[in-house]
Amino acid sequence: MKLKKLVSAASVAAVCASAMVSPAQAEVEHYVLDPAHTETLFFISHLGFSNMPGRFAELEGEFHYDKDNIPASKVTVTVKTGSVDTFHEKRDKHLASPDFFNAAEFPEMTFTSTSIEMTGDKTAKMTGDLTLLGVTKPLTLDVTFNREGLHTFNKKDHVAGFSATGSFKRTDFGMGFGMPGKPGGIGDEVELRIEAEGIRQ
Amino acid sequence: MPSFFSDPMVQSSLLPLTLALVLTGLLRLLLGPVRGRRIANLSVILSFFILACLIQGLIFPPVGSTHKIPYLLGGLALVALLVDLLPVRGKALMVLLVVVPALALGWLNATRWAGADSELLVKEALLYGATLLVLWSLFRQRGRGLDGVVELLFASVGFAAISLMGASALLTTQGFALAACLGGYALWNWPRHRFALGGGVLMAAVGLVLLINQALLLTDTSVLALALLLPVFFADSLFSPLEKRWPLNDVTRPLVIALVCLLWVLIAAGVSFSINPITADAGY
Repeated sequence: MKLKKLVSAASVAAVCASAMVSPAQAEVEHYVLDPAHTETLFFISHLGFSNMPGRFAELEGEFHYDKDNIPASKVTVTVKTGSVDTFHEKRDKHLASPDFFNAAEFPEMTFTSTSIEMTGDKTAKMTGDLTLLGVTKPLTLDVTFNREGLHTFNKKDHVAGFSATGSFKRTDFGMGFGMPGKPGGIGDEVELRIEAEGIRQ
Repeated sequence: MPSFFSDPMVQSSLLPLTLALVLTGLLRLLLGPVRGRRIANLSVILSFFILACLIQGLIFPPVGSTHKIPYLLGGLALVALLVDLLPVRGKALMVLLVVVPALALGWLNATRWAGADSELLVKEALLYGATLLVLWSLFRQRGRGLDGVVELLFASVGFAAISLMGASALLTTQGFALAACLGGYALWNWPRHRFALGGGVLMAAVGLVLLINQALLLTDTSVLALALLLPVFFADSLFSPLEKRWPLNDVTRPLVIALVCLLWVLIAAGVSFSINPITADAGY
């Protein structure tokens, strides 16, 4: 009898609480990254001669976009390190080895935003935790919100897209192979360029 | 100058060779004719530890198994120091040679044990079994000149060549570095044998096992090619029946052993090459 009363009291409380919270949460929209239109590109110095590009073929992520309070928005991205693609199969195999991404031991690299600071109408600095090779360090990205609206062709999906740039030192994460930071070595600084689209759920 | 020391070619040859050569002489000089002779072989594991720190850097706390290698080599250097300083001999040393690699492999793979599948368990069991065989082989060769040192040197060269084909230049650099450390130590012992094979060389063998563990679990290195390196540690036994007919001395014996080892290493590397060939378009 006592248990029944407790359960019904808890149910009433939960309904009341959700009714109170709902108006505020209505502004927060949940988007899932569209892998077909999301690219994480990186550039790294090859022995000082050129800045070679690469990408990760497999990633997934989502963001909670609060239109009225953008700093409250949240982004999480998970990248499969074994999907590193520098347009050269043998080099990709080497990049996935313990020399660099150590994909067998650390199959994922993650980014979780911790704060967003608006710097203009459509630009912001997004800071978050980047976890690579089991080491977590802060990473700040310069983000530009490009467009949000109905998909031009299918008229069904509500899409939000943004671009981001940033950089980090690979040695901060224990990726020290190949004389990083030395002239004639493989670069330490990794330049990032992210192009992403999310589909509202 | 810093970029000279961070050049993988220097890190895997000249630097470890010189370091081991100098450290061996210093240990002998500083510790005297009795203790110095016994402890001089510590230079091998000590140089290897220093080189691993230089090649990989020290990440604290070590998160991944790759980051743990320098710490484990530091630990092995301490064990070697105790073995040669006390000294630890006979059954006590045998027990140590069973326990130390088990503990080292246990911690190296600590994050993997929880979700271990049968493939991992079989690989680790085989690796541990092979480790005991290698250590037993080196243990029985104490006081027999350079035999064990030459065998370990060629096994390291073989491992380095095979792991290069398995696409890990980091393991390759460390494999060649270990071989060069052994080379620096061997230069003091040839043509005249001076110092005993002790804890320093035995723990360096455990260090090689740790690198093999990484190659087995994290790269496409050929298991068959790595297994073919095992007979290298029995090169001395291979021609011992012939020794009665053609006796060898301290000068010729290491050379003959080196030839036998080289043959095995070439076979193992050839098998590896047939599976993972190095091509000009490697992308480096």
